[in-house]
Amino acid sequence: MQMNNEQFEKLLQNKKDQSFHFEKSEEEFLAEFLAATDRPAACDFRFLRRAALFAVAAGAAIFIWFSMKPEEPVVSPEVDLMTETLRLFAGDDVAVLFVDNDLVIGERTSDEHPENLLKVSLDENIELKIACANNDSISINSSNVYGNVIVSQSDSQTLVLDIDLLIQGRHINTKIPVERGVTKVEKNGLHS
Amino acid sequence: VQDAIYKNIFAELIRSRLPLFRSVAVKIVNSSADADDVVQNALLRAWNKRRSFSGRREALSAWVVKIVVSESYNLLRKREREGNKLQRIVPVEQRENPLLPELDKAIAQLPELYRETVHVAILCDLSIEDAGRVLGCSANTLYQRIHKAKSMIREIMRRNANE
Repeated sequence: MQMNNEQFEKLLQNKKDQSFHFEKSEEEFLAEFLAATDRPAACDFRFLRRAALFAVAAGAAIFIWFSMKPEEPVVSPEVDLMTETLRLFAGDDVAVLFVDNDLVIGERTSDEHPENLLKVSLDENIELKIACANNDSISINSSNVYGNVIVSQSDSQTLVLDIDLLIQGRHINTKIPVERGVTKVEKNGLHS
Repeated sequence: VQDAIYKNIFAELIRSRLPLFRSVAVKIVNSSADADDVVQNALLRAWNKRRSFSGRREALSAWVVKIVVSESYNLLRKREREGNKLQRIVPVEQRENPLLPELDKAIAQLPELYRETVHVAILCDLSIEDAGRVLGCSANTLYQRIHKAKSMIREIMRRNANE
C-alpha cells in the first residue's frame, strides 16, 4: 500500500472527522458517575481468581519442596532449651538445672565448661535436666530445690551422678551412672 | 469531607473534559455507547485511586486520558476474544473509506506512547499546546512525537498490506 503524504494526511483527517452522536448529555453522564461513586467498589473477581490460583500453586510448590527435603536430625527440644539457657547464663560458675521444666540456678565448683547435657528421670514424675562438667559439684539453694549433685567421671565414657536433693519436700538420694555428652537416663539408671 | 472535595474535582473535570475523553474513546472503539462506558470505567478507576493522586488538576485530566486509551483498547481486545458474539460496529465513514480500518489497525499496533499521541494530538480537536498539557510534554516534544508516530503508522500500514 503506497500512499503519498497528501493521501495519508487526508486519511487521518477522515478519521478525525468521524462524527458520533452521544445519547447522554454531560449532566446525565455526570449524574451517573456520581451515583456510581456512592456504590461500594465492585469486587474484582478476575483478581480474586488469579490470587486463588497463585495461592494453590504456591501451596503445591511448598508441599513438594518440603516432601523432597531430606529429613534433618531431630534435636531434643529439651537439649535446645538447655543449650539456650546455658548461652544466656554464660558464666561457668553458674549451674543450670531444670526440674520438670522449671529453671533452677545453682553454684558450680568446677572450672571446666559444662559440656554434658543430661536428662534424668529421678522419681515418679520428677525429671531433672542438668548441665555439668565431667567432674563437678553443684549446690542448689532455691525455694523448691535444695541440696547437691556431685558429678564424677567413672571412665572415659561414663559419669556418675550422686544426687542428694530435696525437691518440693521430697528427699531424693541416688547414684546414677550416665554416658558422657548429651544423654537421657531413665529412673532405674539404664540408658535409653 | 475529603470525598466531597474529590467529587467536586471530578465533577469539574467531567464538565470541562468530557468531550475530549469521549472523542479519544470513540475513535478507538467506534461506538458512542461503548465510548461512554469506557469513559465511565476510566473515571471510576481514577476515582478508586483518588487518594493516591496529589497532582494538579491538569495532571488528573492527563491521567484519565491515559486510562481512557488503555480501557478502549481493552474493550477492543475483549471484542476480538468474543469474536462472533459481538458485531463490530463500523461507522458510516469507515464503510465509505476502506482504508480507515487499516488505519485503526496500524494505530493499535503502535507503542503506547505514540498511540496516545495519535489519539490526543492528531485525532482530537486540541491545539498543540493543549495536547501537550494533556500528555504532559512540551509542544516541541509533541511535534517530534507526532512526526515519528505518523511515519510509524505508514510503515506499519505498508507492512500489513504486504503480509
